[in-house]
Amino acid sequence: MLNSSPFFDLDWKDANGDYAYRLNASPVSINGANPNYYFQYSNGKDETVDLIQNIQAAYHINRFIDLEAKYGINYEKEDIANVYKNQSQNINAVSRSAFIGGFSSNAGGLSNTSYTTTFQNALTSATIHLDLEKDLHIKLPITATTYAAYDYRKNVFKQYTTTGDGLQLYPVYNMRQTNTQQVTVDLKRPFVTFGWLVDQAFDYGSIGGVKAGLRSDYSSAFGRGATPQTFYHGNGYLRVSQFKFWQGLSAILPEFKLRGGYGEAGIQPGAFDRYVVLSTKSIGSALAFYASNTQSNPDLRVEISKETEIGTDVTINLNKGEWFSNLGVSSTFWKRKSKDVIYAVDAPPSSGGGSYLTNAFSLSSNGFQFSLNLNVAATKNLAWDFTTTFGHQTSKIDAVSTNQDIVLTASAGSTNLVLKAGDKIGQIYGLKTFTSIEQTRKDGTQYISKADVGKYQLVNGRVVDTATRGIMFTNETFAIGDPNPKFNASFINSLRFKDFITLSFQFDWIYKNHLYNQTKEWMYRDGIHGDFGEKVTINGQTAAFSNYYISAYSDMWGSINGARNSTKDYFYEDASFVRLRNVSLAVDAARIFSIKYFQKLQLVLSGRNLWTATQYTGLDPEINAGTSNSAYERGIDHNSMPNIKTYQIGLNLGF
Amino acid sequence: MKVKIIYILCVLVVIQEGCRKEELNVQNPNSPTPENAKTEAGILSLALGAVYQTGFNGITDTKYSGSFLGSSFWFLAPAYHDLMADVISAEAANNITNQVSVPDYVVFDDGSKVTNSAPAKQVVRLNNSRTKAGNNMFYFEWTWMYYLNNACNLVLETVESVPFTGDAATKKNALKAWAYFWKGYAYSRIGSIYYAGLIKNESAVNSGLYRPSAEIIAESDANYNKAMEALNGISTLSDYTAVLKVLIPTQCQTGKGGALTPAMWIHTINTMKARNILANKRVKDMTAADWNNILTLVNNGVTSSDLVFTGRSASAGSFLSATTGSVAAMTTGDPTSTTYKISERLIQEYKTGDQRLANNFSKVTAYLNQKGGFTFSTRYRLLDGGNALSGVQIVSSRTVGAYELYLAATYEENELMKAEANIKLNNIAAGLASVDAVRTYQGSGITAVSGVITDQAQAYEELRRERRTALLFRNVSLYDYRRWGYLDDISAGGGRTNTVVVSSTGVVNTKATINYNFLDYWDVPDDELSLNPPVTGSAPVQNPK
Repeated sequence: MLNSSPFFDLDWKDANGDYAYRLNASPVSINGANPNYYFQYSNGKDETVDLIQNIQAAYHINRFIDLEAKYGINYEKEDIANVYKNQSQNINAVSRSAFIGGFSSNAGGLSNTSYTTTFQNALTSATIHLDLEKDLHIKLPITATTYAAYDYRKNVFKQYTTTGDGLQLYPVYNMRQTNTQQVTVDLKRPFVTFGWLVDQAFDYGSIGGVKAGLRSDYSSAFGRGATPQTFYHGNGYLRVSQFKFWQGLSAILPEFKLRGGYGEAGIQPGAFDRYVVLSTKSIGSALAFYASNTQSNPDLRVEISKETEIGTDVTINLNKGEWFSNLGVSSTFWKRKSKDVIYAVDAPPSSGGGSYLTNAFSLSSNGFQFSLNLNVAATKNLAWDFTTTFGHQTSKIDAVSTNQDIVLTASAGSTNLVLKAGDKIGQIYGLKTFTSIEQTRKDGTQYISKADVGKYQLVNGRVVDTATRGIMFTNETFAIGDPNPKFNASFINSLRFKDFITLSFQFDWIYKNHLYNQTKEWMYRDGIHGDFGEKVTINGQTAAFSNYYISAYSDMWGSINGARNSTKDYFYEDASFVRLRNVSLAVDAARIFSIKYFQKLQLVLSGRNLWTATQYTGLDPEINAGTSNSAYERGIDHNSMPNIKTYQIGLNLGF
Repeated sequence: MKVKIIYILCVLVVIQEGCRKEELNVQNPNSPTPENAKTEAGILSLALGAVYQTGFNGITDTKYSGSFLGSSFWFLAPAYHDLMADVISAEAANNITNQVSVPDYVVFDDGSKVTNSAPAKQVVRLNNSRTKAGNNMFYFEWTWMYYLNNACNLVLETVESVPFTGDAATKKNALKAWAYFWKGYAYSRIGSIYYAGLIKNESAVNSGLYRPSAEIIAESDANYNKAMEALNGISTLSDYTAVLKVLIPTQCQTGKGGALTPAMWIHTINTMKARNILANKRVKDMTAADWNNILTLVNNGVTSSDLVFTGRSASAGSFLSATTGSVAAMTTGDPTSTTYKISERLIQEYKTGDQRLANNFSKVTAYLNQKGGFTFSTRYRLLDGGNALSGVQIVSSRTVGAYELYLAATYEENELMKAEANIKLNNIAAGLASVDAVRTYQGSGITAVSGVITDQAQAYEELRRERRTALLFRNVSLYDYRRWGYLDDISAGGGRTNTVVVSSTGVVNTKATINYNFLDYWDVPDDELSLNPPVTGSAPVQNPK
């Protein structure tokens, strides 16, 4: 739809009452498609049923020992059915030789998928308490807590998909009405893990404490012969403000706490990542075996991350009155290192496979987080809390075990993101816009020769060829930037007036993050971006020159049309923003008027993402890369779903 | 009492753990293991998947396939050939199909000249980087063919340890012939298009020794010979046929496709070996010995009644999509909406009155390419399923199962090689008789020229045009363009004159000069080089042109 020109009427129907599918007017909107066509010819259904059952038993033996056993079973079933109707009578689809659904012909088809997941968890634990003062009559305020648990988890996932190819023209949509049927997926994925967890904690009164422990697990990803993986963790705190010497300060700084922690965690390979198998597919009426494009690896190790953090918590008394009484400040500095990250790295094509799973790289991140909590008011009628957080983080690839660059699938222009040892995650490389007539190459030579200087002009900060009206771009690739933000901040206010009005709102501020606006670049290709209507002045003439804009999609130095969709700083934008993340207002009528039967009659109005201030020109400065939830593909806006604004009205009743 | 409870609990937990170590052994219950391929049914499945899945559909990494407009080897690798050989054109930037075939310049009838500011040679090299993923033209044929090669290596390594029922030697030989044949095929394609290649005959051992293309072609011949040797070892025909009936997918056992007899298969191999010679030498450099070698091979090559290797779509168990699985399917339809569009330079090769033109193409409002492809405009549409002229060849169909894709050699190709060798050896009447035979076979309706044309140059022109039209979408167009010298720079004696070019404003030129200046042999893709760098003693991996 983002590829459709605005002059097409998507609601237009042909003489048969059908919507058109492809609305092309080459060279514009060549990939345009009509969403109404999808509504007319396809539908889908997704139903999920969850059954959750738990049993729990606790046995308090004495004041030293508590025993507990828990068992839970969660059964989930999801059924997805998709129907793509027969489109062979649609005039537009036939003339464009196009159809939806991915079946073998425009007769469509249907697919049914059912997923079931059975998850069982058994946890047996013992807690041992010991208080030196009370139990052993030793004059030391030390308490000791020992926790030991045995944890068992089993997850069995199943998928079964059937597809039917070719539906009839009459409106009956089930498997029996299709020309051919096949089972395309029949999969079962059991995953079992179990092991021990032991923690020992010592607390010295309210002054300080330390805690250390480990967890050690077996996993079915490693098979029967495997040894368990053990991870250690520990943390401690010291409340300096509890010492005697602090007493003079405690009127102003009642709380000063130092804390620190260390933890290890492991991410196991996928359930079958270590088992070498052959994939199957039916070809003709026989079954074919083949090695899958990504090879599993029997030598995969657990991916391990280690995190260390230190921080302080401080409370400051500001004022004895009802306003600005105290301020809480917390700060945390953290560092995380992950090694043996499991990733499918490329194999040379001649080896016969595309990629193989391996413990590919190590990465490190570090950052800090400050938060400040202010009691603005605590009067009889008004309670007002204000919190702000401020954080920064950065991640970089330390080393790649196979000594190769890891090329990711998300594309910004023509170049894919690359994970390279020593580089920050998300670094983008591309062609640069000429910002001066003297623009130079990497070797220092000038692009535009002295004799030709008169043929170019600076337009809106960009060098333009006055004859073609095209913007000039380098033909060498430069590092364009790191899309990660300089900092993230949040401002949260929560207010209560008397006892019947509460108001809370949160602003988020992300500063100097960047996005590669690939969505815009594609719209430039089709000449359908709003920018094409913006006038520019070149050589004394002012007009919306389309060559000026199209050059940003397709040109580079020495080559008109030779760099289509290449990565360019032109599309790399500052996506800093301030956004009203949440706002919620609640009024309780039962507290204002006395209403019979009602203890509570509260009307709640709330909204998310209602207001945003940004210079970013795309749909949403917070948009995610083409591949969702990827930790490595950052900073790319490629027809991704924007965040949505939501409004909610709620009514809370109490009797 | 309390101590006892703890004790019992501990014992229970220990027992639990002991039992559950067994439970850890989940394996992968969904798929067979390589061990399962070591049975008679298993090795057949492995051999079937090696060709149709790994070989023709092996690139599934979205980095590369994410930009695909079609599917399978057959929509893209042969398309680069047909684009560069000016059979088709494309305007979509996907896989840079729009840029690889823009000539360096064209001179129109009125003397005006349009120059390409981004020469194709430069563009394809600029994109020869692993980070460019799907934009690297050099990647695809290389990868698909080495996938095919290596899957066949695995078949050869497994077949020895398989117990067979019936005539084990025959069955083993049938499978060996299959694996060696497709290895020969893969090396043939690699050696015929890349400047250097790798010889890799063990599935688990990589080689970094790059060899010049001539050595890769020699390796192709060596594998074809091994296939032939295996075919000569077939003694129980029924056991052989049973194997072939599985290896040739059911949907392909119709038309010209089916379970080839050992003799038919040997014919195909001879034609393919002749292709190896013909494709890799410029016509001007061919010697009488070369032509005689070709003649010897094609005289025992594919006949008009032989079955050959074909591909067809099916609604289930398919390895080829009817609508997106071949260059023909993706060229079929109105040029405003098809991925590939018919080139005017193809149409101009049809002789007046050729029924194949009438049956397969219709004239449409000129489609004027606006996007830089200054020779791409076309007035023709490739028809879906032909124009119902009886007995005339049909080039394309998008109906499931209707289009027959030729995977390897055909009768026409064999016969036209016979024609070319004879013409070049001055047996003009015999050569033109072969041209006439092909024209008759395809129902062209063109009057016989054998005995009518006696001039060698004129006879060769008949042959040249016939190869362009009769062998449309049969994987030889780029080899032909190269050996005829068209790909070379005009300054080096290349390019074409007297071509039909519709300009981007719709002016029809008939005497235009095109200077293609494309790479005749491609560089080795960076996707291979950066992960498998050349070891000492390797041949150059980049074409010096």
